[in-house]
Amino acid sequence: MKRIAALALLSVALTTAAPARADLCAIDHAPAATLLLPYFEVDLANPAGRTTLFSVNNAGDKAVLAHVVLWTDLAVPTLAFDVYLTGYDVQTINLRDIFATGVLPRTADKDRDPSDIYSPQGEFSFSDISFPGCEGLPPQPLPASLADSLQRAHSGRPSSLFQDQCAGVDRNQPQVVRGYVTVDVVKRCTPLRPSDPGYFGPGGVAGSDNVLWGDFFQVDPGGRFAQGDSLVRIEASPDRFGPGSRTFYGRYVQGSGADGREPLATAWASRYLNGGPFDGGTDLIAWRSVPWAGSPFPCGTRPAGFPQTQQDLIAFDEQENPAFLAQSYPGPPPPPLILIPFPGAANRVRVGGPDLPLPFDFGWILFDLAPFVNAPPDPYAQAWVGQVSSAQGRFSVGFQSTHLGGLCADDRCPAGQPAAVGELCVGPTAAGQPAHFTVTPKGCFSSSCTQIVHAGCAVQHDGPDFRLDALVCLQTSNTGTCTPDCGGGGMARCDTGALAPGTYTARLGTLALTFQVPSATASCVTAP
Amino acid sequence: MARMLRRLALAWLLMFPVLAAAPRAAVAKTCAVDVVPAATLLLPYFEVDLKSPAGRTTLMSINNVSDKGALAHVVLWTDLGVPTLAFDVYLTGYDIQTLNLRDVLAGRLPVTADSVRDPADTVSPQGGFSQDATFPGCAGLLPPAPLSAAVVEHLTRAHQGLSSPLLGGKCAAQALGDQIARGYVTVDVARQCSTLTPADPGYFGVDGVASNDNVLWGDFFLIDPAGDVAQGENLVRIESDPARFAGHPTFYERYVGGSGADGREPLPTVWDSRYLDGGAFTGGTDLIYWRDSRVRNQAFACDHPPSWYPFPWEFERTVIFDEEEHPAVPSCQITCPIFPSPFPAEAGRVAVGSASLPVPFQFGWLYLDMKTSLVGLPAATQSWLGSIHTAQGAFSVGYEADPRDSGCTPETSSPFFRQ
Repeated sequence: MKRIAALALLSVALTTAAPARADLCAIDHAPAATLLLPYFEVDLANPAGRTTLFSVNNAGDKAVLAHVVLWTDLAVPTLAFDVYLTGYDVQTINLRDIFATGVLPRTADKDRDPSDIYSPQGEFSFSDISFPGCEGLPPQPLPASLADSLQRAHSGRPSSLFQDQCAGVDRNQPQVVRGYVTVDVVKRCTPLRPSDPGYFGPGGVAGSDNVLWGDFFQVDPGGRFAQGDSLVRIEASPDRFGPGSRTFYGRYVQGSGADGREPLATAWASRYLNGGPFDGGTDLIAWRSVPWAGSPFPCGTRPAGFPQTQQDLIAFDEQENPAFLAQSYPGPPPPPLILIPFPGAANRVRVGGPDLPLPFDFGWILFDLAPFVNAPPDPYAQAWVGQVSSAQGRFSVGFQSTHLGGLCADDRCPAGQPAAVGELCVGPTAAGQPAHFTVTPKGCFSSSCTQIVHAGCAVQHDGPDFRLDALVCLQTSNTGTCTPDCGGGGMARCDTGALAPGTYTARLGTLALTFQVPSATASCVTAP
Repeated sequence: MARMLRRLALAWLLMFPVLAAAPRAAVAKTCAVDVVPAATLLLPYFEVDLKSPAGRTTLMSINNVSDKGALAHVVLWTDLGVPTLAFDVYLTGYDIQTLNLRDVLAGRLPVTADSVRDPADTVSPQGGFSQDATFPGCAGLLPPAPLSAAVVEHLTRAHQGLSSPLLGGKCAAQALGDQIARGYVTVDVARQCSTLTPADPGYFGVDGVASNDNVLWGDFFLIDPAGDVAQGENLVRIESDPARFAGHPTFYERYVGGSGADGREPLPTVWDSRYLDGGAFTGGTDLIYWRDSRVRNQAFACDHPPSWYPFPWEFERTVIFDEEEHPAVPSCQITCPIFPSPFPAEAGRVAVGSASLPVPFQFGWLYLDMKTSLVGLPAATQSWLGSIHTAQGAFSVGYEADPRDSGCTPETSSPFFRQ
C-alpha cells in the first residue's frame, strides 16, 4: 500500500549538506548568495489588485540569515530587514503586506525563539543557531507612518524617509508602488544596505554561501493574470572575483570585487507578440544597474545620469526586417537617440506603447543596455530582462529573455587553466583511413608538477577543409621541486573519417596545416 | 542594386556592437542550464489535445541569433523516446520560426527554403542585416510538402500510444487513453538537410549532420484556450563545445556511445521544486519533466513496452518538505512492491498531490533525484523539470525548477540519506 509517511529518523542517516555548486558567470537557477527580484509593483488602491509575491528559500541544512532590501525604481534603498531561515526553510513574502500594513515576515533565530514558535524546523534541518545583532527578531510591524513613507518613496512622491525628498519616478499613480528587491546571505542582522560602507569586505556583514533560492509571481487577480519566474540567482565566489573584476555590486565596492558576486549581462534578446493568442501584447521588464549614487533627490529633479540610455535597441519583425529604435554610432556626429525605454533601475515597458513604439506586431528585439557609446563608459553596467506576453482577459506568460555575450572571461576548463595551442600535427596518412591529429600545448610543462585536467579535440568537415577545436587544461603545482623536463603538457587527439587520396587542410584557430593522403611522414605546424 | 544594399547593410552591421558580437558561437558557458543561444534546443514536453481543435496545444519558436543563415533540424520524439518525425527549418540570419505542434501533427510543416531553393525570397525572405545561405542535401526537403495522410495518421497514433502502421503496427508511447498526443522535441543546428535523427549513425561526428554553432534560441507555450490558462518558458538551451566534452558525458550520450561526439553539455540530475495548493494558487501544482532513459528506444509490441518503463519510484530519492521544513518521504510497509515513479516516462506531466505523486502538505518544496540505482535498469540521469502553479479558472504560472547539481558534476549522494 502506497502512502506518504512521516519521516522515521531511524530509517535514514543525516548527513551535512554542502552548499550547492557554483556555476559562475551563467544566469542559471542554481542556489546563490544573492537573489534579485528585478521588478515589483503593488496596486495599493485595490486590495484585490496587482501585487508581487516572492519566496526566499534555503537550499542548505544549516540555518542562514537572508537580508532583504527594498529599492525604489531609481535604486534608492528604502527598507532593510532580516529573515531567519532554518535549514531547508521557505519564507514567502507578499509585498502588499509590507506596503499596505507594514507586516514583515516573522522569523527569529535560536536565542530569540528558543521554543521554535516563529521559526520551527524539521528533522533534516541542522540545529537552530543564533546570529549576532538580531535582537530585533522577530520584527514588529512597521509603524503606520513608516509604511506610508515607504509608499510615498516607491510611488515617486515626497517621503519623510528622506526629509520630503523623492526617491522614485513619479508616474502620477500615487497608489502604485514600484521598485526592486535584493536578498543577500549575511553573517549578522543589520540595518545596512549593500550601498553602505561595511556591508562587504573584511568584517562586512555579507556572506558568500550560495544557499538561497526562490521565485516570484506578479499576480493581477482582477485581470486574471499571473506570471512567475525564478528570482535571479547571483552566485558568489570571492576567490574568483578580485580587484578589477566586474561584479554585481561593483558600483558599491568601487570595482574591488569585494562583494564576490558574478555580474549580469548587458546584451539581451526578447521576443514580442501582439496578436494571435497573445492579443494583449508584450511587456518587457528590465532591471539595470544605474550610474547614479542611489540617493534621494529634490522632488521635481532627477538623479544625475537619468534617464539611462543604451547602446543599441533594434527590433526585427519575423521576416528579419530591422527597425532602429536607438543605436550607437562610433564616431561624430552622434545621431539623436530616438527612444529611451528603460531610463531607471526597475522598468516595465509595453512593447508598441508610447515608450517603445514598434512598426511590427511580431518579432524580437536586440538590446545592449550598456550606456550610449558617446556617454561616459560605465564599467558597472549590467542588466536583466524579462518578457510578459498576455491574452486579453485570459492568460499571460512571463519568462527571462535570452542574454548574449559572456558575463566573465572565458573559462571552458572544468578545472585548471587552458593552455595555448603550441603545435598541430597529423600523423602518416593512408588512403581510406582516418587522419590522426594531435594538438600539444605551447610551453614547457614539467611532468612532475603538471596535472592534465582535460585534453580534448574535435574535428568537423568544413567545406574542403577540416575545422579543429582543442582544449587542454593544466593544473600546475608549485610545491616541491619540478623535474626539468617538458613532458607534462600532454596532448589532445582527434581523427577524421576515412579519407580519399588528395590534399587537405586542417584549421585550428589561426593555424593551418595542409597535408597529403597518402603520406608516409607526419607533418606539423607550430604556433608562432 | 540588391548587392549594393546588402553591402550597405553589412557596413551598418559593423557599427553595431551587439549585432557584430551576437553571431559568434563563443558564448558557451557549459554545464549550466542558462538562457543563452545554443546548438540544441529541447522542448521538454508537449501535449496536443486531439479531441478538440480548440483544446490544449503547444507552441514553440526557433530563432537564429546569427546574421548567417542556419539550418535547424527538428525531431519529434514520443514520451517513451522513440523518434517519429524529422524535418528541417531554414532560418535566415536573425530569423524567427514559430510552430504550433497541432499543425505539425496535422501534417503542416513550417514552409522555409534556403537560397538555392528560394532565389526570389518568396518563402524565406530576410531583412537588411540578414544573410541567405544554401545547405547541401535540401533538394526535395525544402520547402517541405505537407505530410501525407499516412504520416499524419502515424504521428497522431504514435504520440497517443496507439499502434502505427508506419511502425509495423507497433507502439511508441504511453497509452493513456485520453486522446492527447504527447512527447518532446529536439532542435539541432545542422550542416545539411537530412531525415536522420540524433539516434541514427552519421548524425554526429566529422561528417555528421549536426553542427556545433551555438546560435539557436527560442521559447515554448503550453496553452489551454478553453481553460484560459497558459504557461511559457524558454526552450532548454544545450550548448555545444566538442573539445570540452570529448570523451565526457553529453546530452546525446546514449547515441554517441559516450564518445562526446555530439559535444553537447549534459543536463542536471537532481532538482528542487516548490509546490502550492491554496492561497492564490487553488489549482495546485503540476510538474512537467524530461528524463533520459539512456536507451536507444525503438517501437515495441504494444503490450510489451521497453523494459525500463515505467521507471520505479525509489522512495529515498524523493523528499517532500512543507514550509516549516518538516520532511516526508514516500514509504511502504515492511516490504515494498515496486511502484511506478511519478516520472515513469521520458517526458510527461504529473500533478503534485495526485495519486501518482501524493504529498501530505499543501505548501512546500520537493527534492527530486531523477537517477535510478536499481540493478538491471538504465540509471536515468539527465533530466529537466518545470513547475506550473494554477489558480482554478483564473491564471497560471510556469517556470523551470531549480537544478541542484550539474550534468558535468552530478550529485553522487543524497544530502538526506547516506548511500
